[in-house]
Amino acid sequence: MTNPQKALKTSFLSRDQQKLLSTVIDVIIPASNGSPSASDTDVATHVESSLSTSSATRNLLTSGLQAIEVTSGRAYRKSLADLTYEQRESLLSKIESALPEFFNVLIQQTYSGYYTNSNVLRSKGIHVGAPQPEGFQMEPFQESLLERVRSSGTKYRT
Amino acid sequence: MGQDHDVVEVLVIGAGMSSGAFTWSLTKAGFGVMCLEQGNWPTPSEYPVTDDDWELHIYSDYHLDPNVRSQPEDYPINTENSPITPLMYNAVGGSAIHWGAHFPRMRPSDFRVKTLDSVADDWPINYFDLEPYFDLNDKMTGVAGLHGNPAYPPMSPRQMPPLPIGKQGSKLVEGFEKLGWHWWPAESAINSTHYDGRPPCTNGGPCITGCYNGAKSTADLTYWPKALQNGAVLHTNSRVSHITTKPSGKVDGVVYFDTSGEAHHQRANVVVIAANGVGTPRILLNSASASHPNGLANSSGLLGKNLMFHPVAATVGVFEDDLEGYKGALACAITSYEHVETDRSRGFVRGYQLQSNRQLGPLNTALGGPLERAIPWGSKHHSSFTDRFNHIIPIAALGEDLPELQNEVILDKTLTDSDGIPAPKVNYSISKNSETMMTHAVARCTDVLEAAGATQVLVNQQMQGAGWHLLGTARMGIDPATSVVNQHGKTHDVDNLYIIDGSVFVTAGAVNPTSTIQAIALYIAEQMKRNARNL
Repeated sequence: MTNPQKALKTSFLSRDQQKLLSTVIDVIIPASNGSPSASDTDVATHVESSLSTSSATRNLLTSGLQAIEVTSGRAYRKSLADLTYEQRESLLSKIESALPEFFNVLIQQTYSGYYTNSNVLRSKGIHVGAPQPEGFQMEPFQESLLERVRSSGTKYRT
Repeated sequence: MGQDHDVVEVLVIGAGMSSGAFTWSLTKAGFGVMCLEQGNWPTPSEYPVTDDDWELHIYSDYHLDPNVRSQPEDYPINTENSPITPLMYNAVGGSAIHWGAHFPRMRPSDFRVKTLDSVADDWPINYFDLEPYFDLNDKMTGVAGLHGNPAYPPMSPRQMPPLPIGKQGSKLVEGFEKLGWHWWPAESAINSTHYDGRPPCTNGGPCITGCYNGAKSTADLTYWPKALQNGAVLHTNSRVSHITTKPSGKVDGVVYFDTSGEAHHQRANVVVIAANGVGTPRILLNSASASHPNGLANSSGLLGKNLMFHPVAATVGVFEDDLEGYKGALACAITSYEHVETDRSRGFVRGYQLQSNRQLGPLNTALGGPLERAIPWGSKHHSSFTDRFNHIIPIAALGEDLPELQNEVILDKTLTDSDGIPAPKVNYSISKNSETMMTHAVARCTDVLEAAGATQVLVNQQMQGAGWHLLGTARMGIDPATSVVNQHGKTHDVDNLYIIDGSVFVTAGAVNPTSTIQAIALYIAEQMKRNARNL
């Protein structure tokens, strides 16, 4: 079975683009109550790796990042990194409306990297690891729950 | 082209759930059967459910959608004209490898909708014709459930007790009890105890990425080992392109590709197709010849028509309690048949089944699960995640969509698979009846979730990724002008060609179809045995 995180290692963003991507994903998932921000983990690498598989996805990311900086410059005459969190959030809302395909992919990959990171899961008190083979103990079904339904008469037509 | 010289008695295309049952039945009676499957034998030790990053695989190489998964054994599907995406998997065991294993039978009225409700058509067979085959299939599969469901005629004892319903199920039962509605523990093709040499479910979920320990009863574990012991021959990595015909119009074999791309002609006395409601019309339409110019077995013009998916509305209740939604089989807890029969005061005909689902993991929660829209990003992100993770009950309302000619599978004019075989294109739209039905279903799901104590209810009235059930594209009937196969599964046009998968459904019912698909396959096998001298 191919591990998508391990299989995709190609880097295609410039250092400035990588820094911008980290800023963007920290707007999407900021740090909160002991949970790390997206860039505190390896989410930026995951996003870049996941979108490295074709020229179309590479262009989607680079053109989307460029649009963020252009929009930030027009609105605030500043780079995204120099804005307050509230300003960044407002700006990305505009990008979400203007570039839905880019933003949906960005959300999908940011969440995918974040919510499969063991440090993130531990910070939220979530069981880390695969659901099988160990599984979980559960109480058997209690037939007494069905007393009313059993006595309610047939519910089918022939 | 390579020639496989031995003529086989019966050749089956596809090794999924219907094929496994059918091949076991025929080989048990001494028939010689060869099956060609384009996928591989699944390897449970490779299922990603034992990997720490198991959820990533659900969105990549183990995606339910073959267009996203795009593995070598997959073929592409043009879905641009369909609000519902067909989902399937090519392997021994078929799409059930990715299946939730909810295993209800179709109900008696489902076979008689014309007589009872003046819509669509009656089937040429009924529930009671199939009952012995339902019983046989349940025994071969092993069903965890409970006898006495008032939504069904009395049926044979279930092989195992129901699966646990957990905190989620218990909470939802509170809602059903307050409203006085029907509910019942799910019929599950998942072992709740040891059965037929396989262990019980460990309640790990998520089922849709394969079952590591074999508690989920797929045909690769139930029927196929027994069919092979009976002498069946099964070739994997063998993708059938088309069925070949003699000048008489009868079929005489198939052309298939191996993984190197080499074509072979395998001759057969009888060809049986079990490639699902999309794959079956695809192959038959691609088998057009001088004697069958519009596709094989298509003199009615109905091959590929009347595609039915079961539209699904997802309604998710958010609760204050931790409901441990990660525990247990994904799709097998609580069902309700309260709204499954026609009540014209509701503004639509036929009905829908309610089925509670568990949640998957944290990634699926963040991406919205059945809501198909991610939780908020930004400053509200963490609180939204905390509100939902382990605090939700999703209900799927699965509706009966009626057969309609404009809902169809055709061959795409340009798209092909890796062997150059034309890909299928799906044209499908939601009917007014289905739309009204789903609106009603969402309102009733909201009622029961709020009765159970939900503080918030979230809705996705039309799930896109809900094309699990592929039905109706080679319908069964008495009249060759209005159906593709007869009441015994034999095509009206070709005496030695049979169809045994969900394509033959006349109507869809409002239940998950696998139990009925397999019962029909066993029924058709029995008819073939009885008519062996005419094969």
